[in-house]
Amino acid sequence: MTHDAESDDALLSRLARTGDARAFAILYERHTGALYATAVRITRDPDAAADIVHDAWVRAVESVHRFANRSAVRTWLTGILINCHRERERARRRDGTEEDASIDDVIDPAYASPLDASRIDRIDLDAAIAALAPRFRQVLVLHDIEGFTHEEIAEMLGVAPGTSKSQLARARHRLRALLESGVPRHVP
Amino acid sequence: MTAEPNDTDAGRGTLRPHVSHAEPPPALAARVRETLEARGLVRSTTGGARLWVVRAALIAAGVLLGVVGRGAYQEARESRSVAAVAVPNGPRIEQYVLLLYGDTPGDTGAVHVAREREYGRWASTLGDGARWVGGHELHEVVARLGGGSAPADTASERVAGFFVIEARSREQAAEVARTCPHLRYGGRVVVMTVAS
Repeated sequence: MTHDAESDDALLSRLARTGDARAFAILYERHTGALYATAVRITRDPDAAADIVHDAWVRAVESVHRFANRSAVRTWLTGILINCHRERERARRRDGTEEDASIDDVIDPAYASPLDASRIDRIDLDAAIAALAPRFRQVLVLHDIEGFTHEEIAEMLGVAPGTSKSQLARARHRLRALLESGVPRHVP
Repeated sequence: MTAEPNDTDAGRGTLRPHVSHAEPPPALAARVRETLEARGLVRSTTGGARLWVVRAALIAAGVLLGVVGRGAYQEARESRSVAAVAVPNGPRIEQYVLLLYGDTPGDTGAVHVAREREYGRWASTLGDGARWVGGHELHEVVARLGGGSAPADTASERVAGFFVIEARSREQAAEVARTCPHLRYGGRVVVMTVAS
């Protein structure tokens, strides 16, 4: 069997046992596109996104022996990416940067349902997502764009699945409001 | 009033086709690789190092396990021509094999992997001009050929692995060996020159 045909689990195992550079290269090729896209959406900054993807890969390889096959490799890697992002955010806030803006607690159920984006301009949608408060943008990106379940998101964020659901509802509510009111088209 | 959507995962991934997708910068791959190699987490893929791992394995197999088949012998002979490197106006760099004897019973799973990484970090940071060239953990003895009454393999005699290093002198090679983490785990390290 060639390296390229090997499963993620087999490649991780090889990487853990021997530090196999080829196994790492294949894993990098398979997953970095998705990790970077997620990082850009969450950070809104390509340079910061590259930094956290770098940190995430280093941390993943350092802790590869702790990968327990409880989740898909991509879910595990995304969880590490989110942790790297949160650590950087905590450091940034200690430097005096503002934390998330608060938003309404009152949610109209109609506004909390999934968006039909087929008639929304891509640039408007990118801008509206970028304008969400970070913690809501994070959940919306992970669920509505990246396709993770609430269970997976809850594990990544260290919260209850119910918290993930309620934050997603608020994120969709806010996203609809932004799209209706119009948002400045400034996205990375 | 706070309301939640009823369908727990409705809408999962539905925005994906409607948003922009950024591509990672090409330089990121090299940056990640450099960090991983510097920390000894991923092996270097330079041709020379890979070749040396193979050659050193054949040498070690020939020396330790009594396998003196023609192929191994020829590989060992071939490797002799590059076992010493003369640096212009500098000390003669020689290669040495560090043989690691003994293992820790029950050292498996995550503990074993953590120990492998510790060895890897040590090998990648020898310093003072000494350099890691190659090495491998060794597992089971497949066969013992020749040698008449060679003793049976026991845990205390087992060759757990080897490192091939470059050093400026025998003394430096011995000094490097004294810092090998294998000693802290109760193992023994034997330093040997490579024929040149």
